[in-house]
Amino acid sequence: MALPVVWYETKLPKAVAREMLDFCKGKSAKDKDLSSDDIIISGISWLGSFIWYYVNKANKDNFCYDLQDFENSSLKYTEYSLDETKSWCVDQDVSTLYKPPVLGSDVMHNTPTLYEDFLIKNTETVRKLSVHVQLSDYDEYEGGNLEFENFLGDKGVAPRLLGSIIILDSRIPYQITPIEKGIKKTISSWVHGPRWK
Amino acid sequence: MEVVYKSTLGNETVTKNQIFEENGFVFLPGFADVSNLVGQCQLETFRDDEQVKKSLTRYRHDDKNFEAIFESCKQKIEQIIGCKLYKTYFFDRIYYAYNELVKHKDRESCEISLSVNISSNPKNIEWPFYITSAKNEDCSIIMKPGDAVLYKGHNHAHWREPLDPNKLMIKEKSENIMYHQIFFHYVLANGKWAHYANDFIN
Repeated sequence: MALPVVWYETKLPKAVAREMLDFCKGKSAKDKDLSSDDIIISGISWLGSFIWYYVNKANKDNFCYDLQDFENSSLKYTEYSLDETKSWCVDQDVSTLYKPPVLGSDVMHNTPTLYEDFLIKNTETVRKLSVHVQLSDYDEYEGGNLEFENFLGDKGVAPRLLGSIIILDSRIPYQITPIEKGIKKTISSWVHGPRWK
Repeated sequence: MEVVYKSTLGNETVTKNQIFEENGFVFLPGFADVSNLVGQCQLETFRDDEQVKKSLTRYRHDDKNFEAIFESCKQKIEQIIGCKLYKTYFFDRIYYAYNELVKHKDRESCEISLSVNISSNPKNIEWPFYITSAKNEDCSIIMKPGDAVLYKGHNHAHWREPLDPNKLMIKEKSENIMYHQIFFHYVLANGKWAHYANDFIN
């Protein structure tokens, strides 16, 4: 049975983790996400390709989904500090997806043309995998656990070890518990692919 | 100011309880109310134990009484060690005459473990539980119903010598001797094994 969450304990050397942090923090102001303090990292940077290896492996060994790339071909670096949290959420559900027009209904005049409908149906992508990379070690912060639920409602906790790469099916609920001490540093992204068919 | 006691072994689970850190275990007389668990030994719910030959065991069985104690012990342990925990799993075991728990360390899911005596026949058998302390001393503890040992199961070797009626001066017939023990396992919520919560990995 395939797993809803896969993780790798990469045993990332601290020196490499420091390089990663320097790389993330060295990005210029234009790389900042305007809606938050997150820093955007290119998916084709060395850092992106390092993480992509594990995404690809998890997909080959477990998920077997039709994947394209990191969403927007990018990842983001985030720091969670005291009391910061992320409540239970899912990264992808059906509610945000394109709903085709119903033929013969009264609302046809407000709906896409057949050409647009065909185009959207065949190019729309959805988040299929959510990726989290630990750039802090387990004893550098307290709280801040990534907790998730599988499709049966069983709860699990992702590793806190430095360098752990955690890959979740984007449809499962997860949360990050409040930070109680220290700073949790992570890189995260979504991996998208064609809409489920 | 918060004090964090560093373990003498290094690379080990670290809590905020000095005695627990210095010894690797603490004896907790009368720690758990096991009155609801006494007699909960329907043998059809047990299976042969792989670790202790000829004993019987149940892994995380569906029983509200056991689940309730698992949770209440977690809360009490959190107060003792000053750290938040996740539950991993629990199991109980019935030892019989001549059963032996060979010296071992537990897997990562047993970072913080609690061994509680439920009952025995005859009553109050004085059968020692042994553990190698953080000072590298072998210590023995005798438990009565409700008594518990809180220990770092993944870090410290622990064992029981054979339940020998002659050595332990038990007059009961060998076939009637039993010793019922329950084991609750937890991991530190901020620890390196937090991902073993709920025994999800299993």
